[in-house]
Amino acid sequence: MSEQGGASARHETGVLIDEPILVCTGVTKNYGGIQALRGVDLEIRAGEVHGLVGPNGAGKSTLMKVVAGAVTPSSGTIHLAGEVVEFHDPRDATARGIALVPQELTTLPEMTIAENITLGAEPVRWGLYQRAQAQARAERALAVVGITLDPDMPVQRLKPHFQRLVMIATAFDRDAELVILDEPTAGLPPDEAATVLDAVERLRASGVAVVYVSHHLSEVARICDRVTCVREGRGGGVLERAQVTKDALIDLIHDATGGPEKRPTDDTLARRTSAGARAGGPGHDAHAAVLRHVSSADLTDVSVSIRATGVTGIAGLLGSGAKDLAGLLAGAVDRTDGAVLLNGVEVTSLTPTVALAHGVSYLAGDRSRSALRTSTISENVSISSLRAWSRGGFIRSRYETREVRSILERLGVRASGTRRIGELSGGNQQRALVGRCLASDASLVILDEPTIGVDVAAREDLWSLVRDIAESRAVVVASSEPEELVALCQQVICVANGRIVDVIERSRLSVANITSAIA
Amino acid sequence: MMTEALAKPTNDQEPSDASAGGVRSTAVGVTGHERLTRSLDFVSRWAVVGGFVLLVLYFAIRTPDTFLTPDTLRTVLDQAAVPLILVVGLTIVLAVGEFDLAYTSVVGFSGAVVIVLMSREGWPVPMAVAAALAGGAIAGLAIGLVVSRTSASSFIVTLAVGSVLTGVELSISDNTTIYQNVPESFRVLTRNEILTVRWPVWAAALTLVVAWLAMHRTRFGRHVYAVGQNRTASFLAGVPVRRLVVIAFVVMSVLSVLAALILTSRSASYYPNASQGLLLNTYAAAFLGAAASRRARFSVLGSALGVLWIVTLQVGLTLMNESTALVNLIQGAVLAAAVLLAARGKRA
Repeated sequence: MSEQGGASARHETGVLIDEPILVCTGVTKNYGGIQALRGVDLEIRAGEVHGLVGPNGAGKSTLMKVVAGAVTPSSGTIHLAGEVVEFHDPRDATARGIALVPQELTTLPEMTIAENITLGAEPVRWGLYQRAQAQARAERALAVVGITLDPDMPVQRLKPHFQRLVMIATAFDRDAELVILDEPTAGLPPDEAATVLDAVERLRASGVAVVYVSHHLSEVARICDRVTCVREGRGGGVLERAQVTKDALIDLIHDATGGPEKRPTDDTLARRTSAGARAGGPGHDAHAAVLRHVSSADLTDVSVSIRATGVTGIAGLLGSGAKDLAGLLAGAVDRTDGAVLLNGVEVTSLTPTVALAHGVSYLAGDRSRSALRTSTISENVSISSLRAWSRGGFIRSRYETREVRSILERLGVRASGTRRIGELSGGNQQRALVGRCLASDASLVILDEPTIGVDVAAREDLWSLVRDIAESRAVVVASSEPEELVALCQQVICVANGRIVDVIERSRLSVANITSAIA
Repeated sequence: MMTEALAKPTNDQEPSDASAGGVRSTAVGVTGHERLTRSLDFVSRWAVVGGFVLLVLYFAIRTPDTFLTPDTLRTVLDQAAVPLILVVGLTIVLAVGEFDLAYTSVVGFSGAVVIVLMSREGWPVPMAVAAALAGGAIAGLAIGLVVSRTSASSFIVTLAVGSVLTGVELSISDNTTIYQNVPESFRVLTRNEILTVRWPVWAAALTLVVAWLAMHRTRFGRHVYAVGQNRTASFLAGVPVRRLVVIAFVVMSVLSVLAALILTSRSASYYPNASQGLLLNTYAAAFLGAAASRRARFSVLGSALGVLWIVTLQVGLTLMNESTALVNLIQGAVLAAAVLLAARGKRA
């Protein structure tokens, strides 16, 4: 892999294994007014493991959905093995040997491994399911990913990383020539992730091309032959074999336009945020929340204090436990051990309702868990503030209308509060939902991915609003985008593998420091 | 705190949905999907209202001498009282995202309790009524606690509880009709009139007004709708989800007792299995109401319209001397159509 010259040189020599099997040219995708993809080129060669990296919301998932036929592109062409293809649904892509293994576990827990692997393509004779044949197929597919398991075992008895391998084996069973793995190691501890990586290498050895979508840059550096970076819906550069290192990847993602000399944008960001960035301030000693030796499903023995004012960031890759840390403060995540103190008071049975009563408001990092889609914008904004906005249980509707309107105004959502929130674009929905947390008189506001789907210009506004709010209250922002944390935070708590690995203070806060702490 | 931090609004925006199903094509970011949803909204809402008008016209033409008379109106209102009270409770249960198949059993059970206590045990009317109300409240509490604390489906839980309650009902009444010794003071409750309208109609009207206020003007109502739409999101936003589910079932059951009191007082008797027919027409009414409501929500006023719809249909068909078989058939068809129309709310 470390041969000199890189893939392009090898390609010129005409080695068959480097033939491009999938070529996307100028792929764009518009959702309403939002351009998720603005012309991406991607070339996948036969038998390679191709990394796909880039910040959240850059368009990686959309691009992969286009390749897998789940999304029809607005323009652009896809060549598969030299001919132009148009996929209308995922079945078309599957028929042409492309399999997408999504990030979520989609195995059917009560069915056996063999039934899962052959699902939808069951071996049948005279209408009868051929169990022995299914078992044989399952065993062969499992061998390719490097595990030996009883095909009759129900999938629910497997640990998550084995379930992931079953999903990959399923792709192989369908004779896929190109397998797309979306964050296959998200949330896995290193040893289990290694098993998945082994499977990917075995898949390559058996001649299957793999697209490996991941934020775990060390993994990408370890197994990928070539890497494409996607930034803001555009191709942000390609790294060839010898160039694929973790440092090069960090540079590529955060600065796709050029080399390291362009990197000190962190300083610019820091200067821009100096107003809200005076570390400490009056309430430096007071703490809005304290976690003492807290554990949860994803976190082990974490202790941390959140200052009474200012923005505290939480950084961590998917599955690292960063989301759990944000959720724990609001009672949205179950605590298995340890104590939570809110404004100095220990709260034993913490639920979001109790947390709200203690002045903690929380925005989940996923709109399916935060938005009331068929409710009006106004109803969505006020849901956490109704106690303060009503008298004797009756909502003071004029007061509500006025408050909501001023919040929407401030957030730049130009829509009447009486419209259904589902009618808005994703970014506008998100802004209105942030408004929900800002509307409440909470002394601690926890925002999980506050700017998910929000466009760049609106994001600046949202950030400045969050900074204003943080002058007098504590704000916690969990974000998978280091830029956002650098722009907002006085300190950033870095989480990896369920533990706090670093707390970066303002003075040494930079995108690169965050990225390398959590990767 | 927010008011200080936030700039004052500079421009006024009028509500965009002022007219029924109003389509604002200029609205920013409105997708084609959304436009379709709105058109469906419009069609569905007017199908229900238009259907009601057609129904009234049809009966007025077919039975010109009897249908459009004050007597018919009074009959409709009288017959609507019990389903109205039930449908209010049902609306809250459906709005919070649950199902209840037990409330007709609560009606039967509490009817048996109140009549048996008065006629066989000689309890005074207020005590018997209080006992029935307490029994209903406990049943509702039990259902609510089981449904909200476990992952059991309310559909099955209420089916089971309903069966248990019917069993208890039949054992305390010995599965016989009871009409002796029902105190006169209990019987007059449903005969008294205010402004030529009987008490049960007033009771229904009062229930309706209180429920409308609770559902559309209070924090409780806002929370109920939020939970019904997205339980997780509501929970994470700090809404006390479990408590709301329990309250919904308790309200449903207490209103069922009220309905039972009206039924037994009106007939001055108890007879077994009298309440089973109420299940279909209240569900039909609630779904007709949702079909007629903006955003296909279960709403108190929509459900009330649904009850008037169904009762008018029943009364009209009775005036035309149609058979019970036909009445059942038409009611079922109306329920099916209403469910289809109301299902559009799931699209968004």
